[in-house]
Amino acid sequence: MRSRNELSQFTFDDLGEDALQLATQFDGIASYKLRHTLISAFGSANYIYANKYYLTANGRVDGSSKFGADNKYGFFPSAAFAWKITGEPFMRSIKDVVSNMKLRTSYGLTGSQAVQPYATLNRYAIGLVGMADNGLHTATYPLGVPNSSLKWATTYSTNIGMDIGLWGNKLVFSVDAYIKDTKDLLINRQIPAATGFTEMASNLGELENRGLEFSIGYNLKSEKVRWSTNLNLSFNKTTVLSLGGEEYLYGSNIGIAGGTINYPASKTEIGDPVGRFFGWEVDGLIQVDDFVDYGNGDLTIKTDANGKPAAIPNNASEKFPGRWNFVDQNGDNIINEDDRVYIGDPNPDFVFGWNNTINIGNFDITLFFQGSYGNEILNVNKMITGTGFGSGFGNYNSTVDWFDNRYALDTPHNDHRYPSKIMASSSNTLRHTNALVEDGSYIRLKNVLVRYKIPLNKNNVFKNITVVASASNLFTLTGYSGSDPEVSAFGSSILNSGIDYFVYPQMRQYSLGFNLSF
Amino acid sequence: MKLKYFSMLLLLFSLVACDQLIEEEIFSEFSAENFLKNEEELTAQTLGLYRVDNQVKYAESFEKLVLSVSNIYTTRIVGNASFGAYQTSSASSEYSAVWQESYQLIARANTIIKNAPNAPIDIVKINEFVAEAKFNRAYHYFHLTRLFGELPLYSTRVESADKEVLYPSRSSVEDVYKLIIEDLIYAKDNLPMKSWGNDSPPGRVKAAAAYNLLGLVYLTQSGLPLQNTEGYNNAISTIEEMLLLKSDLGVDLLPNWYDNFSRGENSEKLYSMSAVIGGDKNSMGKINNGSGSFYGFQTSYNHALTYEFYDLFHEDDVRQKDGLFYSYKYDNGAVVTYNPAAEIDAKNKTASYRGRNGISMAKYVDSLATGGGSHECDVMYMRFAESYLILAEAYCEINELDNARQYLQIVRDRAGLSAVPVTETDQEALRQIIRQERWFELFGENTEVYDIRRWGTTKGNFDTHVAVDRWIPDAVWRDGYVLYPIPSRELTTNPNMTQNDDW
Repeated sequence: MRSRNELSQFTFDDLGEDALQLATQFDGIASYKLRHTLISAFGSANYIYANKYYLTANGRVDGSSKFGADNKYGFFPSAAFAWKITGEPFMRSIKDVVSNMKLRTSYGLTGSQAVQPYATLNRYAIGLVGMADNGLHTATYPLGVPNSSLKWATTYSTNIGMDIGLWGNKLVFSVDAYIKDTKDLLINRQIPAATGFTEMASNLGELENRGLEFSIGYNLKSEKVRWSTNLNLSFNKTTVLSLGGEEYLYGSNIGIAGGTINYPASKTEIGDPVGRFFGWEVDGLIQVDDFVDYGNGDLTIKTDANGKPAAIPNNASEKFPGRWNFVDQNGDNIINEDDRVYIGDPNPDFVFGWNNTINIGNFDITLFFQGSYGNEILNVNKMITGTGFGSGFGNYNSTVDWFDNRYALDTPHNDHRYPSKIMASSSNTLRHTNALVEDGSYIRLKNVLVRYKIPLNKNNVFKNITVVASASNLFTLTGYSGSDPEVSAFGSSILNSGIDYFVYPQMRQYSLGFNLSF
Repeated sequence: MKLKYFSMLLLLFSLVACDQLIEEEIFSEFSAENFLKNEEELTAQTLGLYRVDNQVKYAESFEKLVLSVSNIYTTRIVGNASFGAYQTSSASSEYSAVWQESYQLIARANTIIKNAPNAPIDIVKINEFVAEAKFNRAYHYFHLTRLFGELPLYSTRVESADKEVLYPSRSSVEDVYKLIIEDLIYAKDNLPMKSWGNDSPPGRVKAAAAYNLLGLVYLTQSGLPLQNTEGYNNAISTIEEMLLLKSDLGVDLLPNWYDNFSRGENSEKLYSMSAVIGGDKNSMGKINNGSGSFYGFQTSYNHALTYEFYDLFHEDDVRQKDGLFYSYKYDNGAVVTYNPAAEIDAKNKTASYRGRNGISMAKYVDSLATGGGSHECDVMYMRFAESYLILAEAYCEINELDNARQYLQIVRDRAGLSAVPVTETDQEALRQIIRQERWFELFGENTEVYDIRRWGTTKGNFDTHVAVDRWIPDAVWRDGYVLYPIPSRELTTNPNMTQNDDW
């Protein structure tokens, strides 16, 4: 649909069509133009001796507009050495069995400029404000704290690996071990709002990734069937080495869209894994027996001889049977920030991929499975769909699972996954707890591709007709109750991984195609 | 040694000439280098002081923080009662909304205070811009310190990642007041008296706003927590100086009290959040009138006045007749009238909306608003009637009761009330009358929580709060509730920040 708007009454002319928001007679029409540039020079040298020793050296210089005046350039060299052991005379006697054996090692630097442009500059945004003349006027205001010392993030990688092929590479193995040390990480750090701003692009801290990768492959070739399969397993451990002088860093507040829970979901400390969930612990539900005399309206919670209460509600307005029984970590009988603990870890023990290509007659089939084991997901959706959340927020949908299993006075239980209806007084008191943490392990058939080549006789007008059918995300085996275990409400942010908060699941896609050639 | 083959590729790194290619160029925003070089650009920058990013959330958060704790309000919403009962947490979005928006506006003011003196324009003009920024900085710090106590105090804009700058510790309340008072003295002496000129949009603050605010700051400083009683005399001299300049400043009471709540500028309004008819998201004061909005009295309400408050007014008081709806017409034509019988149900806690039964406020009622649609009333920040009430209160506190009565009567006259009888009123009795008069005049105008805190009646309001009693009877008073909690985000992002007691 075409429409035409004529813009006039520009407060200032100097930015032209790059800032239509300077026109004051309309609200909501804006333009934005940005530019960032990268210039690079690259050099490479290869040396191979006796078909056994391989030496490679690379070097590159990159200049990025995004960094501060003195830090625009980064130099990233790397070197690799490989030894083809099967090239040595002493391996010749067993070359029918060991067809390939290669030892590899490398060391190198890589740079990252993953930051928005203009973070080093002092800028003023353009907006409109209504004043007492009932008109809209251009208002400008500072846009963040400039960081003029912003520079490249650099990763120092050391890798050692071995490839082995047996029986003419019918069976192949490889193993790799690596240490990657990333310095001057580019992070949009959260800063106190008292500065007037909430985020600032910064180089902050150092991360170490240590990992082991195994891969095993098998290639079957017979007259009728060819099958090639490859399974790889990756174990990776990320540790925080430094946070630029901080001792810990919180992830973003979960209050993504409407601000449901206004606490950070994760905390990252030096020496620990990145982005573990940080929140409150609940221990079952408050029971009728925890009250002095619930039946007759005495809603005082019982205490034992030491004055310890039988149950601790979130706050006074949640003191009812079936609500979460919080763990008062510091024993002061108030549930607040001081009672937070680590409640889960989004980092998997390992991830894996399994790829198969099968060829039978006129059929070509590719199957790719992937999965993850040992990671947890903070399912914030359950705060709303698994608590009967309502009152003061309008009424929200709940899952059938919660509705059927929820605590009620005639069907009491102590399963913290199914509390009684939370009459949320407001978002003020909602807290994320271990009741929202679930195992996120899964295995998924990520891609399937089937090609069938229709047999044709030589006189046909077509030389070739191939039918291609493919599907992605066809099925998933998981215990996770949300819609998609491959979830991240905060994109690729490492401080906020594994958080589910009404994220669209990945699509299941089917496609069918024909290739015709004449 | 057998050299089988050798290959090499080498590029010379000759990048020196490329520096220009990676200079950053801005297209759709202004940068410090190309901006603030004339009066128009400074005006645009200054209007940023009036632009609250999320004005609906901002106005509604102030409503909850300022009204909920006062015992003249009741509510049908347990979430509002939880503010009155102090059963909220530091993570409540209302605290962070007020904190963040206020500090954002302070940062804008600091930017202007720093940059305006460099503009190649007339020094008098520069001083006006700086005065406007200082007024706004003081205005927001004054809110913040009364709500949260000791504060991170920035008098310059944050422009580096230095830890000392990014992670301030809290300055004492005395120091916060010191900056506020300095700013307001500068503002009253340098802001334009009557007008910003024909080229500027109306609605920007003028000198009278600075006088009134400075008077209120002195009065507040005399009460809790500082109890610096010199403030009474300072309040008196400030406001009396303002009254001498009344005609130069162009301020006066409107003959008809209710006219204050129409849109646009008038001689009594000193500062308000302007509304724009049909204005979209970037205008101030477009208050959502959806169900549950404070300002949407036509359909439902977050807060209503208690019948007890309604009943305190004298029967001749125009502020009861015009300012409160004992009965009003609903959207669909039905007439809604206060129902004493429902009050009994509410007291017995058998009604589903236990605190609902109250009297609607008629301030901010907008004939243009449609149910659930946009609302287009200005939100009142300050008006001139308060100046007389400041004088009355300050004179009463220094025991010059005749002066106190005289200024009080100016406000009462307009409301249609006769003089307070001299014989029956000693200082304490007059104090109570003046306090009551302040709320008769200014209820719903950004004053309640600040009054009870400086008067020391916060606990008294909690103990006698109808909505708290009906919704959250288990709530227990703690002495730290004379302040709100520092928003949790500040504690998590700033290692030097501390939480207020009992939160």
